[in-house]
Order: sequence, then C-alpha cells, then structure tokens
Amino acid sequence: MPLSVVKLDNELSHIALSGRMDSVEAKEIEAEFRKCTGDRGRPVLIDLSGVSFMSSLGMRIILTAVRALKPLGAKVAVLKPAPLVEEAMRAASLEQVLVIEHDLGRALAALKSG
Amino acid sequence: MGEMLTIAIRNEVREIRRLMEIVNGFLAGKEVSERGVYVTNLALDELVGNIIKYGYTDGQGHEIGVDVRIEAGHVVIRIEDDGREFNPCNVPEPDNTKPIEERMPGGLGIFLVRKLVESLEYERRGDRNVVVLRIPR
Repeated sequence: MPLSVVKLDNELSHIALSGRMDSVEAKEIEAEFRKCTGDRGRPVLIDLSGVSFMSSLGMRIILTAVRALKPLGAKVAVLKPAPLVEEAMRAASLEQVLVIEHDLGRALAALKSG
Repeated sequence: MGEMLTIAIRNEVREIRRLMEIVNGFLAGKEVSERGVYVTNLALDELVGNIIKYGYTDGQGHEIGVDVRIEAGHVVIRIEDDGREFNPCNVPEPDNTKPIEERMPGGLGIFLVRKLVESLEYERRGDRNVVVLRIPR
C-alpha cells in the first residue's frame, strides 16, 4: 500500500508514503491522501523515507494539503526524503511552503511553531 | 556511437509504467549514475505524460516514439509525437510574485525537467514534435 496511516488524532495527521509517486501511482492515492491530510484540518507530517521517485503530480498532491491548511494556520512537513527526491522538491522550491526535515523531533517542533 | 534503445508506446497513461520498466532495464549496467537514472525517469514521466494527457484531442490511438541513447558523458533522450504543437521550451517560468502553492497547478513538471536536465531542445518537424534532452550520465 503506497499510503499508510501512522497516526491520525486531534494534534496531527501523520502518514507515510512509499514506492514510486509517478503520474500513475500519485493519481491513484490522491483521494485517500486528501482524506488523511488536508480534509482533517490538522498539521500534516508525511514520512517520505520509502519513496524512491516523485513526479510533479506527487508534489502537486502534497501541495493540496498545503493549500487546504494554510487558511487554518496549520503546516505540512515531509520527513526523510531520499536525496534525489529532496533535490527535485527543492528544485520546485517546495521548501518555501513546507518543512523538509530528516529528524522526527525537529519536524514535529516545526509543525508546532507558529 | 553509443548504445541506443528505441521504443514506441501508445498514447495511454498506463503505457508510462511500461516505458519506465523498459528504459530502466536498458539503463541498468550502463554506468549511469543514480541521479542520471532519476532525472531520465522524471523527464520521461513529465514529458511523455504531458503528451498523453494534453497532446491529442481526436480520441484516437497514436504512437509516441522514444529513443534513449548512451553517450560518453550523457544520457540523450529523443521524444517524437504527432500531437498538437507544443514547445516545452516556451512554457513560462512560474510567476514568482504569487505564493508557490497558488502558482503550481500547471507547468510544474516542465519547469522541473528544464531545471534538472542539462539541455532541452525542441523542433516542429512537419506535423510532429521532436524534443531532445541531454542528461549528465
């Protein structure tokens, strides 16, 4: 399963993605992703350590959570992206609108900070 | 002249996965860096995906040609299609005056490809689009 729930509570929506987030796979998880992230109205933590590849569609899906949460003042963080996934995300300037972290504690702290 | 893979796919989204499997099988053992493989995957996913999704309006089946050539320092990709004219070099840069989450819906994939490949060239040849990308090996 490319999307798995780690924890969904009143404080956080914590999920993990895995495999290839290419045009085909990203489209298939889009509805489930929205349900587990932006629709819940809580800060979002996405573990990307199991993702080997991410297309722009995968990035746009993550941005749906950023868009949904921005009016609520809640943030999105991605945790432990592989080096090439991170390079592509930074090439798209995603670090301007979400937190990219490799340490769980720091990611959680960034989500709590205003 | 390096080794070359030539493949033709149909204009169906599920063909992208088949294309990737064939291309990645070809690149294995060719001393292409992890980054070279990754950027090749990204470029094909974005550009071929774009042709399949937006290149045709007639509802008919079409063939998209992809060549992947191994050169001394580069992976060179050539993509040829008979869809509507589309020059990826002309896609404007994202509007930096808007918040990123608002400016991303369209053009992000092409922008990413342009940023990560060494060069991207386009030619309209008759009724066909021909795109050539060079990716450091």
